[in-house]
Amino acid sequence: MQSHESAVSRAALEEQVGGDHQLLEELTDLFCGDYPQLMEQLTAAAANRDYPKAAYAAHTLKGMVGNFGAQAAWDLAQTIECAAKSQAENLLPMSQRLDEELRRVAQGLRALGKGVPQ
Amino acid sequence: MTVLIAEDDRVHSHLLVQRLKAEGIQTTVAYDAMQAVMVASRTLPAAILLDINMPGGTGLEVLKRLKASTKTCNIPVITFSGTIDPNLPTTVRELGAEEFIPKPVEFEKLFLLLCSLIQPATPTARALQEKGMRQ
Repeated sequence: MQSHESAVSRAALEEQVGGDHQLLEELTDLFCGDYPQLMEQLTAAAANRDYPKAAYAAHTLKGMVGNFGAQAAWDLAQTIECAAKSQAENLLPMSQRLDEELRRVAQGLRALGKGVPQ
Repeated sequence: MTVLIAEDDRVHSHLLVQRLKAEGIQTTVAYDAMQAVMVASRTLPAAILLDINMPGGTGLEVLKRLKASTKTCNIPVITFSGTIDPNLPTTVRELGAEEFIPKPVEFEKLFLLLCSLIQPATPTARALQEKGMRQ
């Protein structure tokens, strides 16, 4: 199991926020506030085989984690988006793995936010 | 001079708002397709940064509406998306968008492009223009 710090790329984050650590904190708060709801939508859509909704939720989550250089989460979301578009049957277990990875991303962001000088 | 950001991802929209603010560019944000068309028509921004995947209609529909309206057809539009469709860049250009940038968006690239389109009177933009003239 990888550590939660490695769930996000410090270099990608620094570049995205242009060295503005206050902005990093704000983005972390937004991500932690928004991703659980999107994850709920994805899980419900996967359970109900609502493929367009599942694809949309996975696509949005993919975009969000892309902001942080969270490659593993991005890859998982991308896989789910493609699977939903091809109406695959295994969306639910993949969604659960993404949920776990998103928790690591959130923890990694919090850890990086605490670790950087203000 | 205001730039409209049409993006449902609040993380990305906030990132763009704050980075552009730091460069002296004011922004407004629309979080869905309908809102994007309404705000563009009402406020006539200097440029529009348009996400292609949004709720309430796609960014492609927004782009078509913007380019079909005499009020908004001349506003430059930069589109972006994390989509896997390889035809999308061509599609958006055919619909009248100035450029397509894949997500995750590289801010420097976006800002350079934006400056070339709207030439804002900000210190960074002036420096970029001077640099461009010297080359």
